[in-house]
Amino acid sequence: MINLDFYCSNDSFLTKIIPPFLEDCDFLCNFFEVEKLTQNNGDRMNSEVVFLEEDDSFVCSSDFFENIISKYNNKPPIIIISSNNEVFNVVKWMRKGASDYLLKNELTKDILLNSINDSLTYIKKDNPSCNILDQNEDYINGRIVLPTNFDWNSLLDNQYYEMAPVMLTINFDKDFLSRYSKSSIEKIYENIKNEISLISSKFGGRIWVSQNNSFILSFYFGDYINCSALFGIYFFNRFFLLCVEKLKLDEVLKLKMSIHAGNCLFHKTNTEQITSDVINSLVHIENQYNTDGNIAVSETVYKNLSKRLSKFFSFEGEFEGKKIYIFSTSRDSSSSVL
Amino acid sequence: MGISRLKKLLSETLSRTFDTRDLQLFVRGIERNLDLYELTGFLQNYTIPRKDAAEAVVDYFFRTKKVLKFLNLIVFTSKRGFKGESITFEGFGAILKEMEECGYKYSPELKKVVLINSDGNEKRNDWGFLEENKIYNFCFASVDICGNSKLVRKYDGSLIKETYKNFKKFVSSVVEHRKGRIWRWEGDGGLYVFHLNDFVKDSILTSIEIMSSMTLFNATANLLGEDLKIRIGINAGDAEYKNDASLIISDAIQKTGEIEKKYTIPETISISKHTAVHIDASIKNYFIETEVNGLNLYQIKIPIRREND
Repeated sequence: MINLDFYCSNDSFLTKIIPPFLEDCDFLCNFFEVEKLTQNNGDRMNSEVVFLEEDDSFVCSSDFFENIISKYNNKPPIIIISSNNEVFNVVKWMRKGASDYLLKNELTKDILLNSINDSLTYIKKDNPSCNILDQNEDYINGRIVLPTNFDWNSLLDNQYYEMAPVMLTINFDKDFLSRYSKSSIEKIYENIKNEISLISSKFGGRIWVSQNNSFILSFYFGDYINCSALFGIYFFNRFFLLCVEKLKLDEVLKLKMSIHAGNCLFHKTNTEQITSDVINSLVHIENQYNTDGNIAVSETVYKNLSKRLSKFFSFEGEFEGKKIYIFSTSRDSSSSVL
Repeated sequence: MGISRLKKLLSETLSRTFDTRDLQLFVRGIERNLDLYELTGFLQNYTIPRKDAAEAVVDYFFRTKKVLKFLNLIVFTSKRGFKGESITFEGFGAILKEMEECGYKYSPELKKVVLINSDGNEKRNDWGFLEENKIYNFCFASVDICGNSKLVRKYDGSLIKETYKNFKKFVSSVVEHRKGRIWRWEGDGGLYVFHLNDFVKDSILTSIEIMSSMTLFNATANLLGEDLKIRIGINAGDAEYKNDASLIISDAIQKTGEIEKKYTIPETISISKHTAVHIDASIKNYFIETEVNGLNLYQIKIPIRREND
């Protein structure tokens, strides 16, 4: 139901002709005496479209126009209804900010509806603040809730579950490998594994397989796809701190990550023996398509991402007939000091 | 109980451990000119009884509000000895326990006795040992939500309030994790300070952690219809400490705010040039040296990568 507010004189003919015009439409007409506008009772109003009947002249009614603007939070379009057909008067109202100017003696149902629709279309399409509100709905609804109570033991062996597996690979430069002993590098892998385990558990995930520099994690509980992607971005952004602060390295190691989702075979132990199409695809994306410094997500993951996360990913290309999206690390230099 | 019991325990242990001559030497570790004869009122040709001397000393340090220094001297002496010999203070365990009852605690990490709040919370603005009106070195960081006034106009007050409360809670947890303290907070941002250990590095790593966790914050704790973007300015310098942190003013604090507000774009951390001197090369390599409106700064954006990567 769309609210239309009409401000007119006490016994205006508008109160009689308008309701029949709009009786089969989804509008709620509210008639107010124009004089009451000046009585400031503090109420804030929010109707979609406002009509103001011009009294004797522009001069007499322009104060009411300003009162309407100040009373309405949403700054609705204001349509003037007047009996004055002088062009000069129309121009004055349009300069004042009116959205339309209708003549009383030419008012028909079609003209009225046309004017209302134009105003509403203008609000929806051209008013940026309205667009923002529409987008905000998706954003607000896209808030991610991390799982708190979850029990991996509740899953049964050899059963298929909808999961989001994540593959993560750490790569060393050749220079780096030559500078550290084998045992130091193994220690680094161990520390990274512990950190991955600690961080992923906050998102409901756990390490499924780890082999030196590569790890496969699984996410099953709650909003598992968004949790896996959020873990990916969070871990990626914190990787600098992990290398510099925890591992005390002179440089940040190379990291890449891939995320896929689908039906996975679950087994509590011997997880490295598990094969499934989803895991195979994930490994292919990671090893054959993805490159260092990126998070690659499959189309299945991207389609299920919250609005809060999907904006970080951009379409990169196709791999094995499926679209791949990449976490963008490009720097936005367009921002300015606020 | 409380203070009087602590005083009693201290004077008992001092009188058992030191004779009057050694006690005089001992307390001169804090007060070079402290004279026990003057303090006790005994004439110079009399020997002051140990008990009287110890009671007068304890009373003096409590009266002059130098308890923290005095307790630190006792703890330090118990660990390092006195005049080249190891010292055992009788009932030292009971003293430590009573100290905690009275709001003092030995911090093994800081290796000193610090003040704790009455609720047992150790997170005090003064880290438990800063003295009022004394000048110390700190590393200051100013964090701010960009476009706050627009957000306030656009969204319902309760949503703004709740989201900003969540943001403060999130910043506090990261700052306190590295022993930093939030000295000021004004709705959309505030000033956090580091003083212990490698305070410049801690300040920078904390700021990087805050910035790199914003995706997580926005995805889970932001109740508004758009991402919150923040900027951070870091600057090291000195300030005269006041117990009321809102009264602490210094050029370094002012400069920190200026760096953040005037020279830093959203989603960026800026560090003043003289502060960046203290950063390890392993971190500094990831910062970009830049000149913003005539001011030389080092800046970093998340995700962190080297320029040539």
